[in-house]
Amino acid sequence: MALDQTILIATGTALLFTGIASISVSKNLLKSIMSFQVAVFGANLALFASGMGYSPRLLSDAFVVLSVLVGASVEAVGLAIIVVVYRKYGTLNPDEIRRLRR
Amino acid sequence: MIYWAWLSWVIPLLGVPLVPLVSRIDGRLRGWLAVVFSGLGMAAAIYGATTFGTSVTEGYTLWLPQLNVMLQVKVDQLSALVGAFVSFVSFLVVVYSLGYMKEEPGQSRYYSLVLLFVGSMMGLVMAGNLIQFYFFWELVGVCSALLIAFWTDRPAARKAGWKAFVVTRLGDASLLIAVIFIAVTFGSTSFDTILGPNGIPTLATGTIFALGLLMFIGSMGKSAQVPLHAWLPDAMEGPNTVSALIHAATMVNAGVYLMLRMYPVITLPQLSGSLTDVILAIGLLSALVGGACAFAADDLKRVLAYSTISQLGLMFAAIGLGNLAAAAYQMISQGLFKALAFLAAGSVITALGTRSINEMGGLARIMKYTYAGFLIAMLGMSGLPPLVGFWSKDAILSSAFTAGALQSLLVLCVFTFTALYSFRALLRVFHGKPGWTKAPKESPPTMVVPILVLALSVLVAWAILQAQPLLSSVSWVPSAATLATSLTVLGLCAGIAYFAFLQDYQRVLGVIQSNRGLLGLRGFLHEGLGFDRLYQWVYSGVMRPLSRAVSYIQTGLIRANMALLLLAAAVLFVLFAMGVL
Repeated sequence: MALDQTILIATGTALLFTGIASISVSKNLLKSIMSFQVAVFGANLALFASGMGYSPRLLSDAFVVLSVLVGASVEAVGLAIIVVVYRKYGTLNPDEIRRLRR
Repeated sequence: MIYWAWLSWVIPLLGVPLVPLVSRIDGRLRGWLAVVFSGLGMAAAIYGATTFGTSVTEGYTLWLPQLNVMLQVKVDQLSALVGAFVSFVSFLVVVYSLGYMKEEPGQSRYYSLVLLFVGSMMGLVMAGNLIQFYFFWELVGVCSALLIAFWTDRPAARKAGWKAFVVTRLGDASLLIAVIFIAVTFGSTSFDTILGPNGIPTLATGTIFALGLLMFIGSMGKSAQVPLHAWLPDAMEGPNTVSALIHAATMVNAGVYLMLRMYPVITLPQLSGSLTDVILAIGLLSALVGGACAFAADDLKRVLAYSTISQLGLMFAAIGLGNLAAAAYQMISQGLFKALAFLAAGSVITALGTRSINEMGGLARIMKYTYAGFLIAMLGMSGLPPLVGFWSKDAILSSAFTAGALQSLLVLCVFTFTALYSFRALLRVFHGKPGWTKAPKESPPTMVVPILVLALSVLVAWAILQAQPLLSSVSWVPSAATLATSLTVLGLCAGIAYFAFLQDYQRVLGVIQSNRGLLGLRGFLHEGLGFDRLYQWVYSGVMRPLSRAVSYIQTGLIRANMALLLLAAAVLFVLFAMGVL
């Protein structure tokens, strides 16, 4: 495995776990969405890096583009939900939004 | 290129998206479109069966290049014959649907799913490799579940759909394990490769046994064998056409078809008959359980459903006895007379608006054509020579005679049950005192004509079937011993049924109702020998506490879930770093 590939995969993994960790500590849903994007881009980076070294690298690149698009639309949906949640509850603290919990 | 083998399943599949499209033009076109597409498929399949020359497997397209899976068709005696039979019954049932589904809402969904089912079933029959086979195997299962739950406003129908899906899934999972194992071991799942000398026969004996058993469990789920049979009686909540097409004539045969395909493997000499013994035992058990329950059921469709379980059990028994031709023959004859019975029963149920045989009776004069169809179906099922059911039963009986006394006795028991419940259904529905108040009318021609065509085929199909090389070992001249035995059983049962269900019905009913033991037995048979209660017990005793225990991890807090995820990732990472994984 080439050095740059190792660096890229390590960075991607680090970003992924940073994102997950910051979701688990953030007390604001907006920040959760941002952390989620960080995690997704970490995964995208690792996916992109894993395609390095193959002569036509188009497959992994195509998947990365697809993943970026899907991630963007997921973010849009998430933000829309957050708007509705804010109107309904008047707060964005996930601990206070308990309607869907048992 | 063998065009017909491709066209026979591609044409019905092509019709699937067209059904909702033509409904934009005119709603009535949907049914006729389905008739045309299934008719074209039937034309291709029947043309293929009549011009069949040599066995070929051909595939042109690499379907899944990563797995080295081709889109293949395997054309041999078995697939040509079964394909022709499947498409023939499908076509007639679609024509019957024109009358039966006339007033129903949701026809786009109905005809799309039926065409999808027909195409998938033909694809399953023609499949040239196991992955393709499994793909269509799942598709017919999905179609079956969705069509059982067709009347989505009935809670019972929705539940029955789920039940069929979940129970057959148990078998499917087992088949999937076998398919994956074969694909990984041989790098190819083509039937020609895995059944050939370099395929499964090279494996160790224990592995072959395990593979065969896994596939047989898959067959048990699809073909409703004990203990995976409990979904079939409930599946009767679906429309009658669906019961006739999927749960009597075609899909439930898929398991038997798989066993017939794998026949060279399950009868390998190194297994020394261990696998066939298992198949024989399960088959006979199902045949007896199904027969006993069919005898007690009061719902006409459930009677037929239990009898399907029983007849399918006979097919597996024939495979277990090593009589491939008898199993294939029984599969086709069962499909013909059971589809006929369901279509005739559907005609009665539509006319009366009830499924309970206690509210039927005395219909022979009023619904003449339906009566003729049901009569021929029941006589065919009970094995009256020379109807189509007789020859397969005769071949199974003669195999049982060769195998031993116990097998013969059990097979004769199954025949007794078959004859008794057939005559019971016939006499209670069409003879005796009417249980209805408003006289029904005969069904429209779109329903009557398919019944009559199927009745004709039950009467004369033996002449065509026995000319097939695959089935030629089913003898034209039954031996005196088997003929005498089966005719004696048939005559005795006819006599008993005449007195018990027609002549002295009230007195027999009185005896049963005054005797607590008999009443209890009837109740026990009514609820299908308590299998449902057993499954309910397993669910509430084992599965529900387990799921409740697991649900404590589900706090519903995003932050807690994410922390757990992180923890799991950390554990995995440590394991990786330590070199455990």
